[in-house]
Amino acid sequence: MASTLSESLAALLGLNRAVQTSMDPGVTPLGAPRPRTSTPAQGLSTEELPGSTPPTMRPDAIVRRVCLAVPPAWPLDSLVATHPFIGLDHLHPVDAHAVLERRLHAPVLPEPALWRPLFERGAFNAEDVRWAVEELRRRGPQHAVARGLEAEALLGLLAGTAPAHPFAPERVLSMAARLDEELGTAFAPAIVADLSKLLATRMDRGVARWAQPLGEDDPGLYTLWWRYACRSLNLEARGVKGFRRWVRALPSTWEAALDSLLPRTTLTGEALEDYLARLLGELQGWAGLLRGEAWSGDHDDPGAVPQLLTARLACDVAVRELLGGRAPGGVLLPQVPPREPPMGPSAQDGLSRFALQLAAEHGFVRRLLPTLAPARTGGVAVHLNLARASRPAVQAMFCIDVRSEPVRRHLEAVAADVETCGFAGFFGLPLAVARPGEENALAHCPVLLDPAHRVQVGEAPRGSWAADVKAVLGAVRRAAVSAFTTVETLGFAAAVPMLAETFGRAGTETSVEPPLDVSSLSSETRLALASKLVDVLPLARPWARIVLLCGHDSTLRNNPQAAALACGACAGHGGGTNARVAAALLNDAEVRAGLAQRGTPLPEDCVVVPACHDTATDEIRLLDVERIPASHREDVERLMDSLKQATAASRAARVAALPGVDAGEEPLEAARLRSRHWAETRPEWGLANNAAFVVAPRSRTRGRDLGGRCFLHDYRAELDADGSVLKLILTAPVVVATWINLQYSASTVAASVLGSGTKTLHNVVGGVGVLLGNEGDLAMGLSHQSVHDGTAPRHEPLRLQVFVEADRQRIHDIIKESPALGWLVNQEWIVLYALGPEGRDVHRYARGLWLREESDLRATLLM
Amino acid sequence: MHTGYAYLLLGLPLLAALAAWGRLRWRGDGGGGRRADAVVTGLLVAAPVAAVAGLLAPSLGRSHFEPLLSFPLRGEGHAAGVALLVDRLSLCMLAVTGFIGAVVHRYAVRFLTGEARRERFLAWLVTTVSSVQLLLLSGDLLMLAGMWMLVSLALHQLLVHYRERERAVVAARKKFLVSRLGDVAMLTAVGLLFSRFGTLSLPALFDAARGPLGAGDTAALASAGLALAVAAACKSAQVPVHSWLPDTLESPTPVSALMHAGVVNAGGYLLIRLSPLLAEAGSALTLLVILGTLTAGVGMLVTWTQPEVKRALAWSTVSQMGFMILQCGLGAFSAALVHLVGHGFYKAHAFLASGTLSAVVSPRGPAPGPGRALGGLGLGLVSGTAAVLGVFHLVGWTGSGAHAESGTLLLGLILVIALAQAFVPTRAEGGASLWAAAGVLGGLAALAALLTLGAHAFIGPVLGRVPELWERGAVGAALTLIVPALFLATAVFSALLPWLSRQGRAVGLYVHGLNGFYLGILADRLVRWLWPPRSAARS
Repeated sequence: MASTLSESLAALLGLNRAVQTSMDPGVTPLGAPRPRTSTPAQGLSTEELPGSTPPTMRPDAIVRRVCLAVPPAWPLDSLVATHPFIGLDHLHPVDAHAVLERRLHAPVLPEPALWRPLFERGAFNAEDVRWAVEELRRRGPQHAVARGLEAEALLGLLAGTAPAHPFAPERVLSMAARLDEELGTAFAPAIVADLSKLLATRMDRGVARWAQPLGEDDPGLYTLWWRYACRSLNLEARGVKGFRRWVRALPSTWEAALDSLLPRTTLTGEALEDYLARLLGELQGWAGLLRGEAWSGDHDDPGAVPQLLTARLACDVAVRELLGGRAPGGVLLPQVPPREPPMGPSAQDGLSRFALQLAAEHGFVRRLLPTLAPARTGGVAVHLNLARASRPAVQAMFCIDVRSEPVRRHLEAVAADVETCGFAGFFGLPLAVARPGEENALAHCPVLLDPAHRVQVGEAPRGSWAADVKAVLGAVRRAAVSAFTTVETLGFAAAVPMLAETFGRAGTETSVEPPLDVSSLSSETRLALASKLVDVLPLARPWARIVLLCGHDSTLRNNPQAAALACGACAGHGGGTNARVAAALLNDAEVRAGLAQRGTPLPEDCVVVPACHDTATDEIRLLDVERIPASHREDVERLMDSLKQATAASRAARVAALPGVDAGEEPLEAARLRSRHWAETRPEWGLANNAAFVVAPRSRTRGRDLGGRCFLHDYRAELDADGSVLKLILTAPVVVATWINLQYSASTVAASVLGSGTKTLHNVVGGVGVLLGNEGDLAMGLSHQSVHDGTAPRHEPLRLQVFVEADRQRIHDIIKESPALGWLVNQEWIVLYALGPEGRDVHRYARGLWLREESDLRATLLM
Repeated sequence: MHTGYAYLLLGLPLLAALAAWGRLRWRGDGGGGRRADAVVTGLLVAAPVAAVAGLLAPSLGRSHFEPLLSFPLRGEGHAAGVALLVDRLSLCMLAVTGFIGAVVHRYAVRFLTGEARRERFLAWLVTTVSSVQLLLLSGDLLMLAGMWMLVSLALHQLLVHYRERERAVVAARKKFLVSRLGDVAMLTAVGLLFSRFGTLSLPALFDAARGPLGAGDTAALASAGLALAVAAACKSAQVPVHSWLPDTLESPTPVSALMHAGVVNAGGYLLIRLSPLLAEAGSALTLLVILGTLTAGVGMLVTWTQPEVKRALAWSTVSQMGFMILQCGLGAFSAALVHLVGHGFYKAHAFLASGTLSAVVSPRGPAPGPGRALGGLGLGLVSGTAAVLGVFHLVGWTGSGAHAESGTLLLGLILVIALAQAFVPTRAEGGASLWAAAGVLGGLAALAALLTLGAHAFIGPVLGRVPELWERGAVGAALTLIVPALFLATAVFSALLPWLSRQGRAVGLYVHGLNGFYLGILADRLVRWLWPPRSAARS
């Protein structure tokens, strides 16, 4: 059926089928679950089908699948984006939407009202909506047409004239939640709060002075809970009489407990799966952190998540067995509404939401595509890179982060002899960076990788008398929360920082970077790392006289989620360290000699200069300047001037977009004030509004205003004979960017469940996360303030539109070989376009087909 | 001059509140919104500046009573009304709460940018600050009681800022009910004093309490003292009516800062302000000693277990307020004032900066064994005692005479014990040498002693003198031994804590402490039963 569909589609639309391929057997039309036929690299065997659960499926397999659907999360000091729908990405967003509404009571696709402001300001128009409806109808008559998906109805929703959709999805509820609904009690939140508290004590990195004494022998989470629940009167005090005795009767291992508890829920098959997913969904923040713990070892290891599920299940069964009699009818059961038929009202609701999603994205792409077309002056732009007339004075390498784009654009504008390019901001160095006073070295590389090389930054303070006193005062200050006398004496001193932080002006402190020590890397390692850098960094050869490696970081104050605004490719840390290490390696004489021997010499006069872009203030600071040889000083100063001009220009535009900035405010002052004020909740917009990812030479985008919405990764197909570089880009940076994109979208669309709520209520727990207010689950995702300015969302939840300038067949092969990428593309979590060398040669990947986008482009050019 | 100054102190909070409500005309920062915020901040800043000026200028700082309104009640000579009492005590507290109020307001203006109902929130915030200031200025019990209630009603509006969050509503109601209990106690005290002395003007009452007392007078003062103790316990979150305080984290951070640094203080201020009335209220003071010790101990145990930053801070306030109430119970009112001021600054800063990871997480070092821990504690006791005795010697404090305050001796002992407790972690974290630790902690102990003695010299004249704990009968004598012993036991337990936890000991105590000894849960059930939340509001 699939191939007939695609053929008829092609015939119907008269589209070029540039790449004739049989459809991936895994691809089925929208709305139906796709059997997993890909390699079991992700660990799920084919029997573990998403969407539908065979009634014969063993309960332990169901448990495993439910646990693997929990998105991993990371502690605050390395808070990076996570894929909020990780267990559902083998489903189409429309199906995932229905599943999530059932289980987590959260949408995947935005409600129509969210698109209204975009529609009203013309970001997309009625034509786009009609195009989207057509597009969906093309996919198979049984969907859109039969559902009565009408463009006019959608337009009515956008205009607000049609009544809001009356559809209310049926939701799964735990037994405790059912009882609460009936009796007006609060058992379900109490259970969540109780488990949450216990998990907080287990994860605590040193907030509580009294370390939790229950698990010194590291007994596993279930046993920990069991020990706790046998003693705690929490639930008994709330009215669950006999809870402790009930817990004591549970088996001592979590597997046995699960075997004993699962049958007592009376559920099997997909109802059981929905129910268990709901239970875990109530604690997904902590579950995510547990998953994250196990993640670095094995991405398919659920870690302690099943044990957490067992504990939560035990509490729910306890409510049933101890309090069930109080429910009307005397029997308490979970609420698991039967699943809808494939074309039920949920799917219908999801489909109309998806249509608007498509329409909004179409509006965006329609504008972007002409920008990505090569310059009108024929093929000159394309060839500029291949046969450059001269070597540029400076090559400046920036992170692919969307915040680099405006700075790069302005830098190129003020200095024509500077060439910029984009690469993941960890510069390919999987570092673990150790700092004095911190127990563990912190990873400075994407969470998909494991750090392999340890370097030291800064020196431990020497044992002087002053340092001694300082250490004692520090210990006393930290202990002050629990000591009476110190509060009276040291308390007065707190008035000074309060005054300074609240009424002080933004300082211009210039911190000196701590010394960097790479001596832990052997000379072989250094050469190996440098060789890799020379191979992967997409800099045209020969390298310029000055090569600037610019990482990024964000100076923020009093912000527990600050890592989310630092460099994601450096695991939520500043990219400056990676740049410094890379420069130290590449400038090393011994390494240079080794590189020359290897046949990849760097020009003698090439000096690599590390830098760091502070995204909160848009200032770029050069690092380790004292290491720059005198011969290059003058050129570097010129570069610094250019950087100053460029950042001033990009800063002016960025600061104007911050809420509450007066027209008269000096941008640098305004930015610094916000970055350093302890009460600021919106110091910068981070990666909000990210929408596209361009994998192409800079010539494709140079001189174009991409509005800070695009990830830019340099790629030259002609230097990548075997396609391995492209494969790396598509399976690593693109996947990471997709996670970022989905995280921002989920935090915008499902703010109350998948976002971390308002910063005004953030309460740091254990140093690993935040919760809202008094108690409850760990909050996940981005805060309300990160994606919303108070009146409207600042992130348009567009799916990531990925544009790749490469051979279509090669892209197609990579999609087939990489299951993780394959799901994202085939199930439409991202949209992939191939750019040909010619301006109009744009193809969209559609479930194994390449559809030529010519008609759209023409429409735009005619406008 | 004095009258003008008193009117200025009265006018600034009133104007600030007025301006804050006038600011509702503008939404967000548009129009005059930003300027209006600046005006409000200016007025809020002016109040503590004026108070500090009064403290520094001897001519302004003299005690001054300014009657404003008087309502004749129950015939001739019986009157109550509105009056201001400006003296070093009220100016001190005015300076601190005014400073914290201004900082919190400025913080909130930025922090709540884009927030729905922000302007309303700011107006209630300023109203709360202003009513606290009027409470501090009250020279008449009628006004004081009125402001006492207004503070809690204004604060209630801040606590239900997120009214769609059920937990916020339940916590606010818990606080509301406790406050009303406190109001009843307050009004009882007012009624008792008025019916006996026929006036509510503070100087008149103080005069009456100082003069020759009849049996009826003594009884009235004793029972009014008990009622005041209950009122203060409700306001300052004493066990068992404490659990509203750790639960009210369901409103924006600035509210916590204000509440913990500017509102819970009111209980302590009430006792210090009315200390001249408490000389005959021995049983009330003894009750305060018991409540304070219990609260300090329970609060501290629970604080140690809490892994959430704000929760730990809130429980630490419970514990600190317990300590402050204990100080009042001992009669060490100027020490209690020092504590209120220091704690106010500390806690406001701690809440406002509670998002700074490096400040709230202290990685746990190796646990010292019992010998080393107790050795550390012992050294702390020695260096602390030496420092405190040194200070006493230097200032010529002898434990008796006009410049001696009750409770100072006992308090000095407790102070040293509490400080010695801080000695253990400084040694355990390593790095610091023995001498540095002993020097710093001795210095801190000396500083604390100096501050307390200095404060007494400064505000002593307006305070009452109450009998020493051991002079209050058998119970008092027993408590004189029990209270320091309990503090010593806590200090020993605290020193052994890392080791105990490593050994998996004291698990039961930990589990119950983690849950706040279930008092909050039971109170929760009571509140939900008395005042069921609408199910629609459930989050």
